[in-house]
Amino acid sequence: MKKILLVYLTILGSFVYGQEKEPFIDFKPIYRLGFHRPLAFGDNYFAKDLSPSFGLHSNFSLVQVYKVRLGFGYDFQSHNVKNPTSIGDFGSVNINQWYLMLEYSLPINKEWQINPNVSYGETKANYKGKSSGTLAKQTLEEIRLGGYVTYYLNRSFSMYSGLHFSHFFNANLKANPENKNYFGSGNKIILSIGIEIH
Amino acid sequence: MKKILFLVLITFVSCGIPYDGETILTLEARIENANGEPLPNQIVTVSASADYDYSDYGTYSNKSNAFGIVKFDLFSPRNRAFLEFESSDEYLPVSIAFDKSSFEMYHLNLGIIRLFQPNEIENFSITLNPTSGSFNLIRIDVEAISYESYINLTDDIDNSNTALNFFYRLKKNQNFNLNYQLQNNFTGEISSFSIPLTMENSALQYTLSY
Repeated sequence: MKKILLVYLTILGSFVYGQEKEPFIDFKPIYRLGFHRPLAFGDNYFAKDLSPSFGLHSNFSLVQVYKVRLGFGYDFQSHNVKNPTSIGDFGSVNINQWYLMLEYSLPINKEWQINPNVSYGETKANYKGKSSGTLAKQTLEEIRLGGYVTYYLNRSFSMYSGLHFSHFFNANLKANPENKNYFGSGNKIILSIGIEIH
Repeated sequence: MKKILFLVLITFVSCGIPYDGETILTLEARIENANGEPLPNQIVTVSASADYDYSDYGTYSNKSNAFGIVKFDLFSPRNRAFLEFESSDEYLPVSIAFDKSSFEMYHLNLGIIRLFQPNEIENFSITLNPTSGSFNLIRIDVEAISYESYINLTDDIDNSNTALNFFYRLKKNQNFNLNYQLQNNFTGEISSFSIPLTMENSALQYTLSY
């Protein structure tokens, strides 16, 4: 198994670096780590009854194939409950998100790059009690559209800033139609900032 | 290692999740006093238990509005839950047990919940006087404004328990009906009867002869 992997990496490496201009497949891992701030809007629970704080934002991609990357990411976000009479006076609502991301690399010059991307993932909402553990769990799906602006600091580090539109929904939520709309879906703008390691 | 595994298992066992986050229910009721007037600002709580020994208190708490209406949108309790009123010196306690099966289309309207002050109710008891062996009392029902401290709306009601209730706590100063059914022991025929009675300011004992 190790030999097969070594041969594969050797072939991939020679293919990638054997060409002088714009390799088709570029083994160039990037890792983004930073903070994000979601701004939910509309007539829904997440916009009206929750108050978000800054959250953790991260994603990772190994290979670029003709300026296109497939990566995966993880975000964490904690919310305080603004309206305790809405669906319960929880201590916090913690949201964990895992997503796959398709991204295009669009260099502006040697220092700046734009990365439009689209992602799809799963969101787990954990409703935590004030003095105890998890009281309820919910799973939602999320689609994001947006991009990053990247400024290269040196060969290894960049700073990035992101702006994304997100639509999230729970297709499996069982409730009356009014509550299904209010508690089961929403939209948000996500602002992010952090360091990119490449 | 075994001790660590045991502790981990104990932790999991004692941390059940009391609510189903994928189901949202709506529960509403109208709170009134003994005279049928709406009672605003009554604090109502819903508590639920997890699979084992853990119970949640305080997540669901709401006040009745100016019309006495209280409404909850809540995650569906996984087991039995209780709607209760904040303890007060003014009104007698009421506890209503419910679970997911109590709801239809994710909605449950409990109707009117009447809160009584201790001096607003009196005891009504029924004494049986079977004058012949021809009839068997099979059903008894008091059609009155009454106080019940515990109401069970779950599916766990023991239908096999057919014991008749001969003791009630009724609102004072009201006219009410005592309804009962007799079955003829020889023919099997069932007859229904209704007796109008008046509850005054003191305890009432009624002797039912049949």
